[in-house]
Amino acid sequence: MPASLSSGSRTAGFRETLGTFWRVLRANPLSFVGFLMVAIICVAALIIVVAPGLLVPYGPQQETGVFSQGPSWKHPFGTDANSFDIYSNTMLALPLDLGIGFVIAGAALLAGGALGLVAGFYDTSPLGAAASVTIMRITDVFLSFPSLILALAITRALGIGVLPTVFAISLTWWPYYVRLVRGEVLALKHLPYVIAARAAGVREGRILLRHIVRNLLEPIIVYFTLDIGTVLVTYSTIGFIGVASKYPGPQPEWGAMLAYYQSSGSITTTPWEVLAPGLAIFITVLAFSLLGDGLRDILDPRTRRAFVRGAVSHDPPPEPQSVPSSPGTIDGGLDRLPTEGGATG
Amino acid sequence: MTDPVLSVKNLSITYTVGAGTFQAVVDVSLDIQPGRVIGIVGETGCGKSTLAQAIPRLLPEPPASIGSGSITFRGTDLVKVTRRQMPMVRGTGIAMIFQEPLNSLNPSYRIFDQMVEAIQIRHYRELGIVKTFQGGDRPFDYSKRPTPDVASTLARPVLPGGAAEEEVRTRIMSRSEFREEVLKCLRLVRINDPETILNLYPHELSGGMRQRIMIAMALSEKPALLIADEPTSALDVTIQAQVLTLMKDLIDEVHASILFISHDLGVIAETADEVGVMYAGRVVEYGPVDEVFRSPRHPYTKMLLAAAPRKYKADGPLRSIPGNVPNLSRPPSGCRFHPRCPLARPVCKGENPPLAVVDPVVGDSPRGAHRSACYFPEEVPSMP
Repeated sequence: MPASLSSGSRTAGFRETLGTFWRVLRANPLSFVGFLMVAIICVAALIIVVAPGLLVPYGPQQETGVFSQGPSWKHPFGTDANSFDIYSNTMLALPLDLGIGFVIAGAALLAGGALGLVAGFYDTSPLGAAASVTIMRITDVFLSFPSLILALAITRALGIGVLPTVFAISLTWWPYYVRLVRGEVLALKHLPYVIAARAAGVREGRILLRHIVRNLLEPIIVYFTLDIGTVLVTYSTIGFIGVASKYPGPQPEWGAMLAYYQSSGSITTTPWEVLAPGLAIFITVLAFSLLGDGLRDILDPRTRRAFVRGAVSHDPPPEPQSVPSSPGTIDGGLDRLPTEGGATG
Repeated sequence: MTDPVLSVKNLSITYTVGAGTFQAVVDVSLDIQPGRVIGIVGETGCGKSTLAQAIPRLLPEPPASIGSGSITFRGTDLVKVTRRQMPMVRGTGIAMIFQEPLNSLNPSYRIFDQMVEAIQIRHYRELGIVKTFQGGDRPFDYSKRPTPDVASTLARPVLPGGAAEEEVRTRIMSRSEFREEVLKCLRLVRINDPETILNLYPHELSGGMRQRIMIAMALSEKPALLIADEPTSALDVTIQAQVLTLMKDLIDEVHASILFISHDLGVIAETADEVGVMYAGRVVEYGPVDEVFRSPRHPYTKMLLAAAPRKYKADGPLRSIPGNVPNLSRPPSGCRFHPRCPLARPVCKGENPPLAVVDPVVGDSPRGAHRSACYFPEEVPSMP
């Protein structure tokens, strides 16, 4: 048996996982691009947080002395009427916008996911049924409001700023995860392997983790990745309306930038002003969408192994030497069985 | 006659859906002797799967509820065990095999990781780390610690103070020992090259292989009773024959009793010692499989056997039973088969006929009585 497959050695298993990851990415050029884009975006955000000077030549409100100039080598996306460098402002907004995406989608995933698990899994016991109904009706109430309007209203009530907006969007975002997780749990929990585990005496908590949550991860992570893009767009929309953050200010934000440049009425005379923040939103959302698609293939053992097989022609195969029959289905041992007295009745 | 492994008495199960109630199982009694294979046969929706899942209390309650009756296994009435106690009782003697080999293994784990789960539970129970249900006349075997065998006693490190003995007995098995256990189970079900199979995902195996792994998992719990709920229905005939042959071989090796649920008369005839025929939630005929199938004494059994496909077209067109399976929320009065029965008389609409012993037609039955829930069992052999 090949050493890389022995379940005893953990490091070999990790190396195999890494190799599989690489093969799947290589087989899907688009998701590979997405993965690369997300990696670059994250590294760029990190550099801007640690040492902004490396990527950004100017500060957020630093006057360059050049007013309303088009793109040039010195100012890749031009300057605005205040003589601020637009490229610098856009890049400086990256960590905030990315963080907002992760925080809101993450908070919604954790809160909504936990509620969805409870509502889906524990709905047979009397107490659980009551909890399930309560959770789902509250979810319905939230879903019946247009989430953007609700988030706007909450932001207005809490005051202008990044934190109130993040809080407001999170508050309207979790119900989608409740619905998604509950639906998946309801489908999974009656599958024979869950019942078989229960019949073997596996405790409910362990069933929930090993047999339900593990099989939920794939759709949830994919949804989460795609959702980061949606959150960004929503936040930018609220920023565009002008209740999230102020621009120009010490901390730029893409939505607010778009709103400011658009409202200055210069879109026909100085179009580069809106181009940079718009492009930034577009690229980030696209990157996460492409990554989400690729993740689906990596997380599902079925497609994962298919990609590994597809890659056999390039690399030495990791397993098939000792497998007796065709790689599609392995049915060793059948020929050993006595077949006389078959049960055709 | 020894004590039965499992004794079901007057079990009734209803489903409550919305405002309606469905009587899925009515007044079913069943005794399973050690080492015997009991078949349950019937149409889809006759309550046989409900019965199979009710015995280890796996039915979701609600919507299902056990109205009356008892399920006695090793001296414990499983109907009286509370929801909280159930996880301690499960896996201590009743194992299950399911119909769909596609979904009966978790797609996210390799075969080893799935199989080790049940073995771990049993092991922890043997060590007393995990609590086991205590109750009934005969407590479960796992409450007792296993006695160390000679090899492990010799391998024990000699330490002063007698601490070593306790150490050896309560030691948790290492990963490689678990691996050996899993391999042993896989070899038991005649899997070729188990070391490779261990590291594969379920989708990489064929249906027959998956079903054999399910059997291996069920046997790894060392059950006294194996409930097989249509284990071969989703397989094609050649694989079906192999799995059935395997199960028959294993009966002798592992000394388990089997409750075999199927809609396939041929499969039941091949495997079971005794058979119960179910119709609309009731057992209508029960007896040794040869006798029930050779000389049925209930019109439903007779018509069911006549409806089974033959090998040749020349035997004439397939026969079907006129009418439909009754709606279980409003079952017919009296005998539930009377609206479709050619022998029906007014008396059939009154009381439900009891499951009474009929006179053996073909010689004396050495294996217990042949029972039929019909008022006119003697007229059945002369039915067209």
